[in-house]
Amino acid sequence: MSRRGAALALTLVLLVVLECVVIGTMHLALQEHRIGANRVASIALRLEVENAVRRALGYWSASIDSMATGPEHRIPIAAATTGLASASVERLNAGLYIVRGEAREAPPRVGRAVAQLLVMPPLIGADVDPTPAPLVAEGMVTVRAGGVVSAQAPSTCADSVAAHAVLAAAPGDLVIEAGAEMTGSGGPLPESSILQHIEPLLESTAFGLVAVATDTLIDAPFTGILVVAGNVTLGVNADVEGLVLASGTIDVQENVRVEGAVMARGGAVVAGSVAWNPCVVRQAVALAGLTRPRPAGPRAWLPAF
Amino acid sequence: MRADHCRRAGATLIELLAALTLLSLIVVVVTGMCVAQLRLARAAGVRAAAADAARTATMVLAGEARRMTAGDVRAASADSIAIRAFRGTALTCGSAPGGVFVRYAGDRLPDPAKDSIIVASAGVQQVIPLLGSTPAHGACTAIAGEAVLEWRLATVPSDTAVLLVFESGAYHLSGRALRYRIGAAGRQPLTAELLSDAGSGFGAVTGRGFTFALDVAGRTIDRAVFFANGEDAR
Repeated sequence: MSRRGAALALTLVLLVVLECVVIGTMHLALQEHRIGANRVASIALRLEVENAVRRALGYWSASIDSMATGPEHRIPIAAATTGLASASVERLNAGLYIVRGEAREAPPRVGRAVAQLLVMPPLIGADVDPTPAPLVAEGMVTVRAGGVVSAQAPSTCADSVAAHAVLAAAPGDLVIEAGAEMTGSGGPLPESSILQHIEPLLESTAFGLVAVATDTLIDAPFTGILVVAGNVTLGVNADVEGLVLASGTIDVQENVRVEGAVMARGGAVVAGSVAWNPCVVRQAVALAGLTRPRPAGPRAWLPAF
Repeated sequence: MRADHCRRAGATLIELLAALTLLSLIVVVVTGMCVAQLRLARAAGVRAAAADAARTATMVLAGEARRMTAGDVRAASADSIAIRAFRGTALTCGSAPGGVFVRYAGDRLPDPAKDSIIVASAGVQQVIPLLGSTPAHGACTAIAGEAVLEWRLATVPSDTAVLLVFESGAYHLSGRALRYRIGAAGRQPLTAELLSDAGSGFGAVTGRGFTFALDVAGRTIDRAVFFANGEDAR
């Protein structure tokens, strides 16, 4: 009787030991699974928050350009693709902003990821119309015989007609010679124009933007944005689709076709054709990312805690 | 009666022998099972610990890399990499005598004995010694997670600046573990001593990040970690 009891007790103890070993092994396996799942969640949160910060740059607005400095004036940006992430922007000084993002796991989980990006404001502010007219010049504008300046946009573009064909400093600065054709009227210079941003544009390495630091002759087809520190001559073989900016004068020679806009701080002489196409200009500006903020310096992605 | 008694006694002895034999067999089998289970559990435990060491090493180095640029790698060899290890970010929010007020967030509070500052504002990369750091509640408006501090600096940065707090540290893959050394202090292990030195070590440092290998239980795991501000980050 007592021997049978001992065997039963011994068997039960052995079973308990075996169970403990099995449970321990299973616990290890489950721990590994949990650690793996947490790692995946952590990476997903990090990607989510970095995406939110990047997307926030695409929601840049005039209100951000004009916001006051300090954390109390932070502006939240609805840039998240899911409810997990949020982003806000704070102005540090005239030329520096910080975009912060935070992503949290849905309760009851408590995972969190943060990211912050230091940015400079867009080269072209949200209040600047990159293409108010086909021809804008702060100096004397002459449309020679045979020259054409048209404020009529092509039918493929949503904007149909520009308010003015030529914007000049004063009405007397606009000379239209006999035989010249101007579709649209002359008007005053806008208060804020892309001409005020030529210097930073000359430093830019944006896609589709060509910056030249000296007087230039273009005598071949060109597409995009041309920024010249000096005078620019569009030779007889030039065929431009986009925007030409010059800190000096612009000379559009005979047979030249410009579709987009030309703008000069100096004067302009048009013997060829300048046709307004705001769609082409906006596309070039968008491609170059000139209306989006730019990462500031080599440490733009700041350590976030 | 006697014959019956003798038969009963003989039967009892045989029964006892049979029972002991069976019990021995059962004990042998059960002990074998126990030993096998224990071996399995021990092996699984060692594998889990080794995997944990590899995972910790990867997470630590990846986390450091995300805060760095290629210029923050001061030296690299087969078994170590010396870096600027960033521990906090501060935004200047006012002028103080001999320094600035900052809104600070970081892994820990800055320690002038081992930390320096790098100015990270656009286009500026200047390293400044941190001479002192004291709490300055209410000197500036801060957001959640930030502490307002008064810093004494060797050079006061102009205008609003972004300041990064860093310590000079080195990671070592030696002594069968990933180890961290601050300045001239000793190498403290960050993982269990389960990595083999023979196959573990650091690889190339590029503008994008750096590589390292972990030799775990005879298996070499190659890893690459990337700088957040690497060559192709923007």
